[in-house]
Amino acid sequence: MSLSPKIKRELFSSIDRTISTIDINTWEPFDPDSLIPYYLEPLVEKTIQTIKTLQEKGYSIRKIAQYFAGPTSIREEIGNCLYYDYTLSLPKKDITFYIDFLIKALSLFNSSDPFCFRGKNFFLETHQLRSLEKIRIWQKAEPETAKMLGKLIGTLLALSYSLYTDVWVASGSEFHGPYNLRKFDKEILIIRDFFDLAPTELWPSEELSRYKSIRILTLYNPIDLRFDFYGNFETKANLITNLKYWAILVNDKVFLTPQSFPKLIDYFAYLTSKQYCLVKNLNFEETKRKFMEAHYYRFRKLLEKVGASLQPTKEMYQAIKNKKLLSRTELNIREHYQLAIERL
Amino acid sequence: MSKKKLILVGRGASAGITRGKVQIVTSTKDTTRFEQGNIMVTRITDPSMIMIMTKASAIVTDIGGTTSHPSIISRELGIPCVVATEKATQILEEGVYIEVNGETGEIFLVKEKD
Repeated sequence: MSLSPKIKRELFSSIDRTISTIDINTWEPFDPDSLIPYYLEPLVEKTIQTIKTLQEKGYSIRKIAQYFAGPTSIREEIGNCLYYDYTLSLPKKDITFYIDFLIKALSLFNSSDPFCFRGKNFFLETHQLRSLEKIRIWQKAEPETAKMLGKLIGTLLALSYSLYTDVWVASGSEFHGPYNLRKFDKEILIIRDFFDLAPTELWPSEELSRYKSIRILTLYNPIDLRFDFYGNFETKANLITNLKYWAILVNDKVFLTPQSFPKLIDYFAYLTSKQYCLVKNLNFEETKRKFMEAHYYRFRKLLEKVGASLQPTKEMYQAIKNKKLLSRTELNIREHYQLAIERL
Repeated sequence: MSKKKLILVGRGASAGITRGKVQIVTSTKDTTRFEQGNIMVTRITDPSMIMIMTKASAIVTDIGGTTSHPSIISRELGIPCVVATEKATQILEEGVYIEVNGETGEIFLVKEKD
Protein backbone atom coordinates (compact mmCIF):
# COMPACT_ATOMS: atom_id res chain seq x y z
CA MET A 1 0.00 0.00 0.00
CA SER A 2 1.26 3.42 -0.82
CA LEU A 3 -0.84 6.34 0.29
CA SER A 4 -0.46 9.68 -1.40
CA PRO A 5 1.22 12.44 0.64
CA LYS A 6 -2.12 14.29 0.65
CA ILE A 7 -4.01 11.33 2.15
CA LYS A 8 -1.26 10.82 4.74
CA ARG A 9 -1.37 14.49 5.65
CA GLU A 10 -5.14 14.45 6.05
CA LEU A 11 -5.04 11.25 8.12
CA PHE A 12 -2.43 12.66 10.46
CA SER A 13 -4.03 16.11 10.76
CA SER A 14 -7.39 14.60 11.55
CA ILE A 15 -5.97 12.30 14.24
CA ASP A 16 -3.85 15.13 15.64
CA ARG A 17 -6.83 17.49 15.91
CA THR A 18 -8.86 14.81 17.66
CA ILE A 19 -6.12 13.96 20.17
CA SER A 20 -6.15 17.56 21.36
CA THR A 21 -9.81 17.22 22.42
CA ILE A 22 -9.25 14.16 24.62
CA ASP A 23 -8.38 13.90 28.29
CA ILE A 24 -7.28 10.31 28.88
CA ASN A 25 -7.81 10.70 32.64
CA THR A 26 -11.56 10.71 32.13
CA TRP A 27 -11.84 7.36 30.40
CA GLU A 28 -13.80 4.61 32.12
CA PRO A 29 -13.27 1.88 33.06
CA PHE A 30 -9.60 2.62 32.30
CA ASP A 31 -7.14 4.10 29.86
CA PRO A 32 -7.29 1.93 26.69
CA ASP A 33 -3.48 1.90 26.65
CA SER A 34 -3.56 -0.30 29.71
CA LEU A 35 -5.35 -3.24 28.09
CA ILE A 36 -5.51 -3.07 24.27
CA PRO A 37 -1.82 -4.01 23.78
CA TYR A 38 -2.53 -7.40 25.38
CA TYR A 39 -5.24 -8.52 22.98
CA LEU A 40 -4.94 -6.46 19.80
CA GLU A 41 -2.87 -8.97 17.85
CA PRO A 42 -5.32 -11.93 18.12
CA LEU A 43 -8.18 -9.51 17.41
CA VAL A 44 -6.56 -8.14 14.25
CA GLU A 45 -5.65 -11.67 13.17
CA LYS A 46 -9.24 -12.84 13.58
CA THR A 47 -10.64 -9.82 11.73
CA ILE A 48 -8.23 -10.24 8.80
CA GLN A 49 -9.17 -13.91 8.60
CA THR A 50 -12.89 -13.02 8.58
CA ILE A 51 -12.47 -10.39 5.85
CA LYS A 52 -10.44 -12.79 3.68
CA THR A 53 -13.06 -15.53 4.13
CA LEU A 54 -15.80 -13.17 2.98
CA GLN A 55 -13.74 -12.00 0.01
CA GLU A 56 -13.15 -15.62 -1.01
CA LYS A 57 -16.92 -16.06 -0.94
CA GLY A 58 -17.21 -13.19 -3.41
CA TYR A 59 -18.25 -10.36 -1.10
CA SER A 60 -17.16 -6.92 -2.34
CA ILE A 61 -15.42 -4.34 -0.14
CA ARG A 62 -18.64 -2.30 -0.27
CA LYS A 63 -20.65 -5.20 1.08
CA ILE A 64 -18.14 -6.06 3.79
CA ALA A 65 -17.87 -2.40 4.83
CA GLN A 66 -21.59 -2.43 5.62
CA TYR A 67 -21.00 -5.16 8.19
CA PHE A 68 -18.82 -2.85 10.28
CA ALA A 69 -20.70 -0.97 13.00
CA GLY A 70 -20.07 2.35 11.23
CA PRO A 71 -17.37 4.63 9.81
CA THR A 72 -16.19 5.66 13.28
CA SER A 73 -15.52 2.03 14.20
CA ILE A 74 -13.45 1.66 11.04
CA ARG A 75 -11.44 4.80 11.79
CA GLU A 76 -10.88 3.62 15.37
CA GLU A 77 -9.47 0.32 14.08
CA ILE A 78 -7.11 2.23 11.78
CA GLY A 79 -6.06 4.31 14.79
CA ASN A 80 -5.49 1.17 16.88
CA CYS A 81 -3.31 -0.46 14.21
CA LEU A 82 -1.25 2.70 13.86
CA TYR A 83 -0.87 3.57 17.51
CA TYR A 84 -0.34 0.05 18.85
CA ASP A 85 1.77 -1.14 15.91
CA TYR A 86 4.57 -2.00 18.36
CA THR A 87 2.36 -4.79 19.76
CA LEU A 88 1.72 -6.44 16.39
CA SER A 89 4.11 -9.14 15.27
CA LEU A 90 1.94 -10.26 12.36
CA PRO A 91 3.56 -10.28 8.91
CA LYS A 92 3.75 -6.75 7.55
CA LYS A 93 1.81 -7.77 4.43
CA ASP A 94 -1.16 -8.77 6.62
CA ILE A 95 -1.22 -5.47 8.49
CA THR A 96 -0.84 -3.60 5.22
CA PHE A 97 -3.74 -5.59 3.75
CA TYR A 98 -5.91 -4.76 6.77
CA ILE A 99 -5.21 -1.02 6.86
CA ASP A 100 -5.58 -0.81 3.10
CA PHE A 101 -8.94 -2.58 3.33
CA LEU A 102 -10.15 -0.28 6.13
CA ILE A 103 -9.19 2.87 4.22
CA LYS A 104 -10.94 1.61 1.07
CA ALA A 105 -14.02 0.74 3.13
CA LEU A 106 -14.05 4.21 4.67
CA SER A 107 -13.74 5.83 1.27
CA LEU A 108 -16.93 4.08 0.22
CA PHE A 109 -18.84 6.00 2.91
CA ASN A 110 -17.20 9.29 2.03
CA SER A 111 -14.64 9.41 -0.74
CA SER A 112 -13.88 13.11 -0.30
CA ASP A 113 -13.40 13.08 3.47
CA PRO A 114 -12.82 9.56 4.83
CA PHE A 115 -10.93 10.75 7.93
CA CYS A 116 -13.25 13.69 8.76
CA PHE A 117 -10.41 16.07 7.92
CA ARG A 118 -13.02 18.50 6.56
CA GLY A 119 -15.38 17.79 9.43
CA LYS A 120 -17.82 15.52 7.60
CA ASN A 121 -18.78 12.08 8.83
CA PHE A 122 -20.96 10.44 6.19
CA PHE A 123 -22.71 7.14 6.72
CA LEU A 124 -25.72 7.26 4.39
CA GLU A 125 -25.80 6.94 0.64
CA THR A 126 -27.73 9.37 -1.55
CA HIS A 127 -30.75 7.11 -2.01
CA GLN A 128 -31.02 6.66 1.75
CA LEU A 129 -30.97 10.42 2.22
CA ARG A 130 -33.66 10.86 -0.41
CA SER A 131 -36.02 8.70 1.59
CA LEU A 132 -35.64 11.09 4.52
CA GLU A 133 -36.91 14.01 2.49
CA LYS A 134 -40.55 13.11 2.95
CA ILE A 135 -41.86 16.26 4.49
CA ARG A 136 -44.53 14.49 6.55
CA ILE A 137 -42.01 12.94 8.92
CA TRP A 138 -40.57 16.29 9.99
CA GLN A 139 -41.87 18.20 12.98
CA LYS A 140 -41.21 21.87 13.52
CA ALA A 141 -39.08 22.48 16.60
CA GLU A 142 -40.71 24.50 19.37
CA PRO A 143 -38.38 25.86 22.10
CA GLU A 144 -39.65 23.50 24.81
CA THR A 145 -39.56 20.49 22.48
CA ALA A 146 -35.99 21.33 21.45
CA LYS A 147 -34.93 21.33 25.12
CA MET A 148 -36.62 18.01 25.77
CA LEU A 149 -35.05 16.53 22.67
CA GLY A 150 -31.62 17.62 23.96
CA LYS A 151 -32.36 15.83 27.24
CA LEU A 152 -33.45 12.71 25.40
CA ILE A 153 -30.21 12.67 23.38
CA GLY A 154 -28.22 13.24 26.59
CA THR A 155 -29.83 10.26 28.33
CA LEU A 156 -29.33 8.03 25.29
CA LEU A 157 -25.66 9.00 25.21
CA ALA A 158 -25.31 8.21 28.92
CA LEU A 159 -26.93 4.83 28.36
CA SER A 160 -24.54 4.14 25.48
CA TYR A 161 -21.51 4.96 27.64
CA SER A 162 -22.75 2.57 30.31
CA LEU A 163 -23.38 -0.24 27.78
CA TYR A 164 -20.20 0.07 25.73
CA THR A 165 -17.70 1.90 27.99
CA ASP A 166 -16.39 5.35 27.09
CA VAL A 167 -13.93 3.86 24.65
CA TRP A 168 -16.15 1.64 22.47
CA VAL A 169 -19.33 3.67 22.30
CA ALA A 170 -19.15 3.53 18.48
CA SER A 171 -19.93 -0.20 18.74
CA GLY A 172 -23.56 0.83 19.31
CA SER A 173 -24.01 4.34 17.96
CA GLU A 174 -22.88 6.71 15.23
CA PHE A 175 -23.49 10.43 14.86
CA HIS A 176 -23.18 11.55 11.26
CA GLY A 177 -23.57 14.45 8.88
CA PRO A 178 -23.79 17.31 8.12
CA TYR A 179 -25.91 16.38 5.12
CA ASN A 180 -27.91 18.59 2.82
CA LEU A 181 -31.42 17.60 1.82
CA ARG A 182 -32.94 18.94 -1.39
CA LYS A 183 -36.17 19.97 0.29
CA PHE A 184 -34.35 21.95 2.96
CA ASP A 185 -31.86 24.00 1.08
CA LYS A 186 -30.64 26.10 4.02
CA GLU A 187 -30.70 23.68 6.91
CA ILE A 188 -28.11 21.01 7.67
CA LEU A 189 -29.03 17.50 8.75
CA ILE A 190 -27.32 15.74 11.65
CA ILE A 191 -28.29 12.17 12.44
CA ARG A 192 -27.76 10.48 15.77
CA ASP A 193 -28.04 6.76 15.28
CA PHE A 194 -28.32 4.67 18.42
CA PHE A 195 -28.44 1.46 16.42
CA ASP A 196 -28.01 -1.02 19.24
CA LEU A 197 -29.46 -0.04 22.59
CA ALA A 198 -30.07 -3.63 23.62
CA PRO A 199 -26.84 -5.60 23.11
CA THR A 200 -28.05 -8.77 24.82
CA GLU A 201 -25.01 -10.74 23.63
CA LEU A 202 -22.90 -8.31 25.64
CA TRP A 203 -25.23 -7.90 28.61
CA PRO A 204 -27.55 -10.89 28.86
CA SER A 205 -30.64 -9.35 30.41
CA GLU A 206 -34.32 -9.21 29.72
CA GLU A 207 -34.50 -5.74 31.13
CA LEU A 208 -32.43 -3.98 28.51
CA SER A 209 -34.13 -1.32 26.44
CA ARG A 210 -37.28 -2.33 24.62
CA TYR A 211 -36.10 0.11 21.97
CA LYS A 212 -33.45 -1.72 19.98
CA SER A 213 -32.66 1.25 17.76
CA ILE A 214 -33.44 4.96 17.77
CA ARG A 215 -32.53 7.30 14.94
CA ILE A 216 -32.81 11.00 15.76
CA LEU A 217 -32.92 13.31 12.75
CA THR A 218 -32.31 16.98 13.36
CA LEU A 219 -32.27 19.88 10.93
CA TYR A 220 -30.40 22.96 12.12
CA ASN A 221 -29.86 26.45 10.84
CA PRO A 222 -26.65 26.52 8.75
CA ILE A 223 -24.32 26.43 11.76
CA ASP A 224 -20.61 25.65 11.73
CA LEU A 225 -20.27 22.07 13.00
CA ARG A 226 -17.34 19.71 12.51
CA PHE A 227 -16.96 16.00 13.13
CA ASP A 228 -13.63 14.56 14.20
CA PHE A 229 -11.76 11.31 13.56
CA TYR A 230 -13.59 9.56 16.40
CA GLY A 231 -17.03 10.65 15.24
CA ASN A 232 -17.64 13.35 17.84
CA PHE A 233 -18.77 16.73 16.64
CA GLU A 234 -18.03 20.16 18.03
CA THR A 235 -19.80 23.43 17.45
CA LYS A 236 -19.96 26.82 19.12
CA ALA A 237 -23.57 27.20 18.10
CA ASN A 238 -26.42 26.41 20.46
CA LEU A 239 -28.04 23.15 19.34
CA ILE A 240 -31.32 23.98 21.08
CA THR A 241 -31.97 27.44 19.68
CA ASN A 242 -30.74 26.51 16.20
CA LEU A 243 -32.93 23.43 15.83
CA LYS A 244 -35.54 23.92 13.10
CA TYR A 245 -37.09 20.49 12.47
CA TRP A 246 -36.79 17.03 13.94
CA ALA A 247 -38.01 13.48 13.49
CA ILE A 248 -37.39 10.28 15.43
CA LEU A 249 -37.50 6.78 14.05
CA VAL A 250 -37.76 3.97 16.55
CA ASN A 251 -36.94 0.45 15.38
CA ASP A 252 -37.00 1.91 11.84
CA LYS A 253 -40.55 3.23 12.12
CA VAL A 254 -41.57 6.84 12.46
CA PHE A 255 -42.65 7.40 15.98
CA LEU A 256 -42.62 9.72 18.94
CA THR A 257 -44.51 12.83 19.74
CA PRO A 258 -43.14 15.46 22.11
CA GLN A 259 -45.63 14.29 24.74
CA SER A 260 -43.76 10.99 25.04
CA PHE A 261 -40.38 12.64 25.77
CA PRO A 262 -40.60 13.06 29.57
CA LYS A 263 -41.45 9.39 30.15
CA LEU A 264 -38.73 8.26 27.76
CA ILE A 265 -36.12 10.47 29.41
CA ASP A 266 -37.01 8.97 32.81
CA TYR A 267 -36.99 5.46 31.35
CA PHE A 268 -33.54 5.81 29.75
CA ALA A 269 -32.13 7.53 32.84
CA TYR A 270 -33.41 4.63 34.95
CA LEU A 271 -31.83 2.08 32.58
CA THR A 272 -28.56 4.03 32.60
CA SER A 273 -28.40 4.13 36.36
CA LYS A 274 -29.12 0.40 36.61
CA GLN A 275 -26.62 -0.45 33.87
CA TYR A 276 -23.89 1.74 35.35
CA CYS A 277 -24.42 0.04 38.70
CA LEU A 278 -23.90 -3.34 37.00
CA VAL A 279 -20.66 -2.06 35.47
CA LYS A 280 -19.36 -0.73 38.77
CA ASN A 281 -20.11 -4.04 40.50
CA LEU A 282 -17.94 -6.08 38.12
CA ASN A 283 -14.71 -7.33 39.63
CA PHE A 284 -11.38 -6.51 38.02
CA GLU A 285 -11.18 -9.63 35.80
CA GLU A 286 -14.81 -9.18 34.69
CA THR A 287 -14.22 -5.51 33.91
CA LYS A 288 -11.27 -6.34 31.65
CA ARG A 289 -13.28 -9.01 29.86
CA LYS A 290 -16.27 -6.68 29.39
CA PHE A 291 -14.04 -3.94 27.98
CA MET A 292 -12.61 -6.36 25.41
CA GLU A 293 -16.04 -7.82 24.60
CA ALA A 294 -17.48 -4.32 23.99
CA HIS A 295 -14.64 -3.76 21.52
CA TYR A 296 -15.14 -7.09 19.79
CA TYR A 297 -18.91 -6.57 19.62
CA ARG A 298 -18.47 -4.04 16.79
CA PHE A 299 -17.47 -6.92 14.49
CA ARG A 300 -20.67 -8.84 15.23
CA LYS A 301 -22.18 -8.55 11.74
CA LEU A 302 -18.92 -9.60 10.11
CA LEU A 303 -18.62 -12.56 12.47
CA GLU A 304 -22.23 -13.60 11.92
CA LYS A 305 -21.63 -13.68 8.16
CA VAL A 306 -18.96 -16.34 8.56
CA GLY A 307 -20.85 -18.17 11.29
CA ALA A 308 -18.28 -17.32 13.97
CA SER A 309 -19.01 -16.78 17.66
CA LEU A 310 -19.63 -13.22 18.84
CA GLN A 311 -17.47 -13.92 21.86
CA PRO A 312 -13.79 -12.98 21.61
CA THR A 313 -11.45 -15.85 20.80
CA LYS A 314 -9.79 -18.04 23.44
CA GLU A 315 -6.47 -16.41 22.58
CA MET A 316 -7.92 -12.98 23.36
CA TYR A 317 -9.31 -14.07 26.73
CA GLN A 318 -6.04 -15.80 27.54
CA ALA A 319 -4.10 -12.66 26.64
CA ILE A 320 -5.77 -10.58 29.37
CA LYS A 321 -6.33 -13.23 32.03
CA ASN A 322 -4.71 -12.36 35.38
CA LYS A 323 -2.82 -9.50 33.76
CA LYS A 324 -2.22 -6.19 35.52
CA LEU A 325 -3.13 -3.01 33.72
CA LEU A 326 -0.19 -1.66 31.77
CA SER A 327 1.23 1.76 32.54
CA ARG A 328 0.78 4.37 29.85
CA THR A 329 3.60 4.08 27.36
CA GLU A 330 6.22 6.76 27.21
CA LEU A 331 5.44 7.31 23.55
CA ASN A 332 4.93 10.82 22.31
CA ILE A 333 1.42 10.23 20.95
CA ARG A 334 1.58 12.82 18.22
CA GLU A 335 5.03 11.80 17.03
CA HIS A 336 4.17 8.12 17.16
CA TYR A 337 1.12 8.53 14.92
CA GLN A 338 3.13 10.65 12.53
CA LEU A 339 5.85 8.01 12.17
CA ALA A 340 3.35 5.16 11.84
CA ILE A 341 1.52 7.01 9.05
CA GLU A 342 4.79 7.80 7.29
CA ARG A 343 5.57 4.09 7.20
CA LEU A 344 2.31 3.28 5.38
CA MET B 1 -25.33 41.66 41.70
CA SER B 2 -21.94 43.05 42.72
CA LYS B 3 -19.01 43.44 40.34
CA LYS B 4 -17.85 40.08 39.03
CA LYS B 5 -14.35 38.74 39.71
CA LEU B 6 -12.45 36.19 37.62
CA ILE B 7 -11.64 33.24 39.88
CA LEU B 8 -10.96 30.29 37.63
CA VAL B 9 -10.17 29.43 34.02
CA GLY B 10 -10.62 26.12 32.28
CA ARG B 11 -11.34 25.00 28.78
CA GLY B 12 -14.57 26.18 27.15
CA ALA B 13 -16.43 23.09 25.94
CA SER B 14 -19.98 24.23 25.29
CA ALA B 15 -20.62 27.86 24.40
CA GLY B 16 -22.97 30.21 26.22
CA ILE B 17 -22.92 32.38 29.32
CA THR B 18 -25.00 31.74 32.39
CA ARG B 19 -25.15 32.73 36.05
CA GLY B 20 -26.28 30.56 38.92
CA LYS B 21 -25.65 28.99 42.30
CA VAL B 22 -22.88 26.41 42.71
CA GLN B 23 -23.75 22.93 43.82
CA ILE B 24 -20.91 20.43 44.27
CA VAL B 25 -21.72 16.94 43.02
CA THR B 26 -19.65 13.94 44.11
CA SER B 27 -21.88 11.06 43.06
CA THR B 28 -25.29 10.04 41.85
CA LYS B 29 -26.43 10.24 45.50
CA ASP B 30 -26.66 13.99 44.98
CA THR B 31 -29.48 13.58 42.44
CA THR B 32 -32.39 14.33 44.75
CA ARG B 33 -30.80 17.29 46.52
CA PHE B 34 -29.63 18.95 43.28
CA GLU B 35 -31.85 21.93 42.54
CA GLN B 36 -33.11 22.74 39.06
CA GLY B 37 -31.11 25.58 37.49
CA ASN B 38 -28.05 25.35 39.76
CA ILE B 39 -24.54 25.02 38.35
CA MET B 40 -23.14 21.51 38.63
CA VAL B 41 -19.51 21.45 39.81
CA THR B 42 -17.82 18.06 39.87
CA ARG B 43 -14.47 16.36 39.31
CA ILE B 44 -15.88 14.61 36.24
CA THR B 45 -19.35 13.41 35.30
CA ASP B 46 -20.28 9.76 34.84
CA PRO B 47 -23.32 8.25 33.07
CA SER B 48 -25.29 7.81 36.30
CA MET B 49 -25.26 11.60 36.83
CA ILE B 50 -27.38 12.23 33.77
CA MET B 51 -30.46 13.36 35.72
CA ILE B 52 -28.38 15.97 37.53
CA MET B 53 -26.92 17.16 34.24
CA THR B 54 -30.38 17.63 32.75
CA LYS B 55 -31.34 19.85 35.73
CA ALA B 56 -28.17 21.97 35.65
CA SER B 57 -27.90 25.38 33.98
CA ALA B 58 -24.14 24.86 33.42
CA ILE B 59 -21.47 22.27 34.17
CA VAL B 60 -17.93 22.86 35.48
CA THR B 61 -15.42 20.03 35.93
CA ASP B 62 -11.88 19.59 37.25
CA ILE B 63 -10.74 17.38 34.36
CA GLY B 64 -11.93 16.58 30.84
CA GLY B 65 -11.44 17.48 27.21
CA THR B 66 -13.80 18.98 24.68
CA THR B 67 -14.96 15.51 23.66
CA SER B 68 -15.37 14.12 27.19
CA HIS B 69 -18.88 13.24 28.51
CA PRO B 70 -19.67 16.56 30.17
CA SER B 71 -18.68 18.44 27.01
CA ILE B 72 -20.65 16.30 24.59
CA ILE B 73 -23.75 16.12 26.76
CA SER B 74 -23.71 19.86 27.59
CA ARG B 75 -23.67 20.71 23.91
CA GLU B 76 -26.69 18.47 23.40
CA LEU B 77 -28.44 20.13 26.34
CA GLY B 78 -27.55 23.61 25.06
CA ILE B 79 -25.94 24.66 28.36
CA PRO B 80 -22.47 26.17 28.96
CA CYS B 81 -19.68 23.85 30.06
CA VAL B 82 -16.12 24.45 31.22
CA VAL B 83 -13.78 21.47 31.68
CA ALA B 84 -10.16 21.05 32.81
CA THR B 85 -10.27 23.75 35.50
CA GLU B 86 -8.07 21.45 37.62
CA LYS B 87 -9.48 22.74 40.91
CA ALA B 88 -13.11 23.83 40.53
CA THR B 89 -14.27 21.46 43.26
CA GLN B 90 -11.68 22.94 45.62
CA ILE B 91 -12.07 26.61 44.77
CA LEU B 92 -15.80 26.93 44.22
CA GLU B 93 -17.73 26.81 47.43
CA GLU B 94 -21.22 25.39 47.47
CA GLY B 95 -23.82 28.17 47.50
CA VAL B 96 -21.77 30.94 45.88
CA TYR B 97 -23.05 32.52 42.68
CA ILE B 98 -20.85 32.33 39.60
CA GLU B 99 -20.93 33.23 35.93
CA VAL B 100 -19.77 30.53 33.52
CA ASN B 101 -18.51 31.43 30.07
CA GLY B 102 -18.55 28.22 28.04
CA GLU B 103 -16.63 29.73 25.16
CA THR B 104 -13.66 31.35 26.89
CA GLY B 105 -13.60 28.92 29.81
CA GLU B 106 -13.71 31.78 32.33
CA ILE B 107 -15.54 31.51 35.63
CA PHE B 108 -16.40 34.64 37.62
CA LEU B 109 -17.56 35.03 41.19
CA VAL B 110 -20.63 37.27 41.10
CA LYS B 111 -22.03 36.91 44.60
CA GLU B 112 -21.05 35.27 47.88
CA LYS B 113 -23.33 32.79 49.63
CA ASP B 114 -26.83 34.02 50.72
